[in-house]
Amino acid sequence: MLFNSFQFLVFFPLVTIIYFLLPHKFRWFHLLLASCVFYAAFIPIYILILFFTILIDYCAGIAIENSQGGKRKLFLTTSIIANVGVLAIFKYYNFFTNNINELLNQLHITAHGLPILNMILPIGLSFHTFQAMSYTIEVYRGNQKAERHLGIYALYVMFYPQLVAGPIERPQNILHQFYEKHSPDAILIENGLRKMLWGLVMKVVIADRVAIFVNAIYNNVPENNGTMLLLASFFFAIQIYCDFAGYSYIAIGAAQVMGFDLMTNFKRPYFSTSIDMFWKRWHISLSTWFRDYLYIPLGGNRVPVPRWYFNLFIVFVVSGLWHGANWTYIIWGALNGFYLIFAIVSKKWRDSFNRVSLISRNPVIFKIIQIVTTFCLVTFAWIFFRANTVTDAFLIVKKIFTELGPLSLNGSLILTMLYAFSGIALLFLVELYMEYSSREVPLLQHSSVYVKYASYAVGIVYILLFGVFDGGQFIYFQF
Amino acid sequence: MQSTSWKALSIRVILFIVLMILLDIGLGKVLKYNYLKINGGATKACTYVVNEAKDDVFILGSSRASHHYKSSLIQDSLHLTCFNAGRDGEGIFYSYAVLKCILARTTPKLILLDLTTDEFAEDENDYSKLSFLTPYYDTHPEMQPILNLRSNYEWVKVKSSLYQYNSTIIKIIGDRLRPSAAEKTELGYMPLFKEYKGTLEMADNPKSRLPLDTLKINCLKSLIRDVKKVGCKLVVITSPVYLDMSNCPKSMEVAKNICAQEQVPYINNSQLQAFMRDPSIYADQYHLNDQGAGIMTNMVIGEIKPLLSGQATYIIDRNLQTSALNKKDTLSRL
Repeated sequence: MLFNSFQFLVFFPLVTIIYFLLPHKFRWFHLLLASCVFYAAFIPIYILILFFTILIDYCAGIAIENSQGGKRKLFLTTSIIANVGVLAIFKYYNFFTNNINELLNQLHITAHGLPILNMILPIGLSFHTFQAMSYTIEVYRGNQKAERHLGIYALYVMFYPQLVAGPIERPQNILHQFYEKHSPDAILIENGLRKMLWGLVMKVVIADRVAIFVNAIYNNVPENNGTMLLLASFFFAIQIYCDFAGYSYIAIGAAQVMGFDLMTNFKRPYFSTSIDMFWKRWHISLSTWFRDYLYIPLGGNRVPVPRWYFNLFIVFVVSGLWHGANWTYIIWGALNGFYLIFAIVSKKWRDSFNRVSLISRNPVIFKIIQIVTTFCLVTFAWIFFRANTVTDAFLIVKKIFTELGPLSLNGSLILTMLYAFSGIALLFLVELYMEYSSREVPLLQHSSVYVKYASYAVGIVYILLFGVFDGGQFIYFQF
Repeated sequence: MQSTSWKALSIRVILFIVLMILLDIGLGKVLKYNYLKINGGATKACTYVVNEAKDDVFILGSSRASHHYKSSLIQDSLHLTCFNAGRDGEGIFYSYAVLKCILARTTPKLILLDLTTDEFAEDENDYSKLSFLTPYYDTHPEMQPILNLRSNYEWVKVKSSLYQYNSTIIKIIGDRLRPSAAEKTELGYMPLFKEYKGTLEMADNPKSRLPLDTLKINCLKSLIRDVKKVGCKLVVITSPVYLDMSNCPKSMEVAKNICAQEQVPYINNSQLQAFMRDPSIYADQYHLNDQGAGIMTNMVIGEIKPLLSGQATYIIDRNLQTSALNKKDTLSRL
């Protein structure tokens, strides 16, 4: 079920009202059932994959806690293999098979290639698999007690607001909340609904609108000049942020209405002054997952410098692969890894340059230059993320640098662009306000009741008048 | 939270809902007034066709219909009133919805339906493009079943007056403030004046690779039956493209077969050699410019005259494999 669907408009209040009406001891079952309905709205049969990993990890958690020494590691390894195995089969099998078959072709080995599986990727597979893995790892590390209640553990993996696209929670943060009795709290409900409203504006009004432009251009790369591709790349940077951050706002808001507190996933990443800061503000739940479960176990930065660079690079390549089984994502990850390593290597030179140049003497201008540079670098990497193929991606880059020309817009694209820029202007003002004030969303959180409710009304009117209601699913669902 | 806070919140929520309903109705009325007052361009043409047109001949279809058929030439040659109801980016659903409104009000003498070369390709976007017609949803129950194809809950969504004017506000403001900036139309026909400079290429439209949409196919069948039921004449046409379409015959094959079954003339002019020689009569690969539209309209007039003068049976009885007409005659006229 999509957050931006009509079904969810009925599902959410119904589930929430029943949740509060039920006695506490039945609530976990209600939420679990609701989560199953939510997930089954996509492809019902794939819920069996979830049940499989839930059972494995539930048993592994208890086994790890009850064991000593090498057996603990054995149970953890079994759990990780099961989870990664599911990912490998459903997400990566065809990618690796295609590449092996291609390699065999190149080597003129004409024997029968490996078979390709004809299946659709289960929605949000990487998200719930990573959340499940974080549970067994934390139990193994002794940071989390093994959950004995199968239903509660299943709910930890399947809690519907964050089931298909995160935030990827840690057991320490969310498991105990399922045992707590949440009474309806007007402040939490209002805060949650406010987040949902802003998330919906980001998704339906901005992300889905710019997506029309991006799809029209990126799906027809040879026909478009560098200027059109540059504009589409800028729009994609906005699209992916509004799509995913919008989803996160709705997820966090929906959970908050029921009294649950999910972790923050985005902190205005496009106001970052460096790539390092960008990754501390973008998809925080995934970045910290990789930091805690891959980067630090690899040695982090407490290793010789070359090994440190290797650790950084490999984490980003794996992060790219996590996003999708395609070379475009791997290149995107590698590019971000390269950015970070280059930032470390070049830090001394850049500091020296900043000292001698006049730019650094004006902190405001210097900060703007840093923000714009970071945004440009991130947007350049997004080209590989969005392009349909690696060939397309390189063609886009080539055209942007060599084939700038006039904008060729037809009537509908001009209108789309006007709507898109009005949405982007709103986003910029809101994020600017949030960045330099303590409030969440301006006006929506105003101290005057009249201003606040009037801004809610404007938000709803804005969605009805400017929203794209056929925009379809969230980008990150495919991961 | 204390009970007084809950009471205050409940009152606020109820007041807010009432305010939202009033806002929806009020703003909806303002938008409706301004939308119907738009005095030019595609919106004006659409309002005219949906609400009041009683012409003898209607041209239905997509941008290829609106840019290819000069209504004034048809009007002068056939001595019948004619209006071009084609619209950019639209397809068979739009044509059928508009036709439903026309037939609810009048019985035209002739309908020319222009189908694109990939008319029946399965494309979700073609459903969302029906949004151009949602401002007329309330007042035209006859088109509601077609507009409801947009989504499962469309009938609920359109209860909001604001939703009916979704994504139209910039157009409304622009056309109301500067009517002269609206698209130029002549009885619905929208001329293009560019000249295509490219060479003839093999068609490689990604749409051609998509599976066929049975809903669209059924829509054409229903359209044909509705037109026949009221005794109106119908000619289905695929107009010229500056592309070699030999790889993409799927939709045209379907159109040909349906028309043959329903005994309706189908004229596939998409690959007429006379139109493949000169790119200067095109604005782009899919659209004729004003000069090309003139040639094309005159050719079609010549083709449909026998139908209107009672010599129609020979068209219907002929083998409808490619075109119902004598290609030699056609080409000699060009």
